[in-house]
Amino acid sequence: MSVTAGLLALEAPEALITERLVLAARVAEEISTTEPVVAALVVGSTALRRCSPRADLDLIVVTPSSPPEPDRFASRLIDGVRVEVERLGRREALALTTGGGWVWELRQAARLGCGVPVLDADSFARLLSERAAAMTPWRDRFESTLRDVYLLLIGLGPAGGDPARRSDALRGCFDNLALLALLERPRRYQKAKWALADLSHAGEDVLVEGTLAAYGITSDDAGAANDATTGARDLVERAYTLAGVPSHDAILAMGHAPALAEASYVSRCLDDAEDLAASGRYLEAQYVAKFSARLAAGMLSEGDGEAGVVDTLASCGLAPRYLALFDATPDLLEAALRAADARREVLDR
Amino acid sequence: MGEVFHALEVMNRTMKLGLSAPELLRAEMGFKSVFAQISNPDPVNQLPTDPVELAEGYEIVATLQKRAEPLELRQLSTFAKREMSRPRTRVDAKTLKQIDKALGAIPTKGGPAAKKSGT
Repeated sequence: MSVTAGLLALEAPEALITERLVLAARVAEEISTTEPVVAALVVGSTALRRCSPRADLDLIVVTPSSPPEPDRFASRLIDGVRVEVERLGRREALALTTGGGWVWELRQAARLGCGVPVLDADSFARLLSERAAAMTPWRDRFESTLRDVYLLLIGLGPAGGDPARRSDALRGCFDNLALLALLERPRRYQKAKWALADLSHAGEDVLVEGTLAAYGITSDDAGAANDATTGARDLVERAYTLAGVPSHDAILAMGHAPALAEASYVSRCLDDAEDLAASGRYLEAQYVAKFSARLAAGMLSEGDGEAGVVDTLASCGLAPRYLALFDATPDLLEAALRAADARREVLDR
Repeated sequence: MGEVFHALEVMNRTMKLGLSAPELLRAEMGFKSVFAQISNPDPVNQLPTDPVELAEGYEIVATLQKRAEPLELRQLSTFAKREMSRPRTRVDAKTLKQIDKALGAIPTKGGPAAKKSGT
């Protein structure tokens, strides 16, 4: 079985999804008996068919007018499932699914667009889905990101140079190309945790294989996942110490921490990696763990001008630990160029 | 002689490359000899084999300026493909040896100090 087939096979069982959709429909029906409802749709992991039995069940209830802020969110435990209900005004739902955008805007729209309606008498949920799918990434930003990838590939063109720095630059290329590929698709870029599964769902097998190779991920087993998460955690903790931010566990305990936005994102990524490993999604666990290490390394290299991440890590003694996470990776220049050309062809259409 | 030397000397200073004077002269002469061989394919007038002599007759006058329009993505892709497949132009070992001999810069213990020759 190919690696990408393995990723698809990790979808939640049909019975679990059906059970949760039935529960959501029941909650939506109850709500509609006490207040006017335009539509109700299941969003999040259940809608995207990758929920675990313990996952929250997210339900968006679209109301004719904007709900008052205190009534907007409600949380209930039903039959052992945490049901999170979000009320959203019809006008806001339409505003979220219009025009173009970048990661944040497209992600917000995709949440509605990929939702599964459980109450939709007037086909409003279908309208949202069509509108969200019609949204496009900002062309200027897309082109600028792709231009940077090409310039990097041109710089890497001549063989030679330090293999470690070369491999790290290629990992950056694949990260950017994965982002661009996902922004073109209805699911958009949600987060690193789902990047490989969503790329696979979009049929971007070449990018999946390239990303796994660039990250030195060659085996789908618990041992490799454990090595990756342990190594990444060690690097993240050391990077935090150098950057003068609290520990990984302390940051997670803070919950929403806008003052430490960067570290908070790194820690949530690492936490996702450990969660993926615990769920048996070993390939993704390795990718997300190593991605979090790259983010943590990036935190240290900010303000270092043109110096690469590896150079910054070398200056503070962390380069060997960082590079050990990725093992030996093949030279993927041609694969990266093919993937960049695929994105360019989409832009040209 | 001297244009490449000057350019390298400025880069050496501003980018702190740490190149020595013999290395700069070596680069200048190597560059010019390769350039002369590539751009002088006249079969009648055979090029001299001595790179120092060969480089004496040539100099490059060039300026770098920003493109009015950046390259299109398609052009960048072509550029990247070329960079991947094109072998680097290198000064062959024999030529380098001749240059080093002319410069008196073949590494020896406490090697001779090189002087910039020509203008």
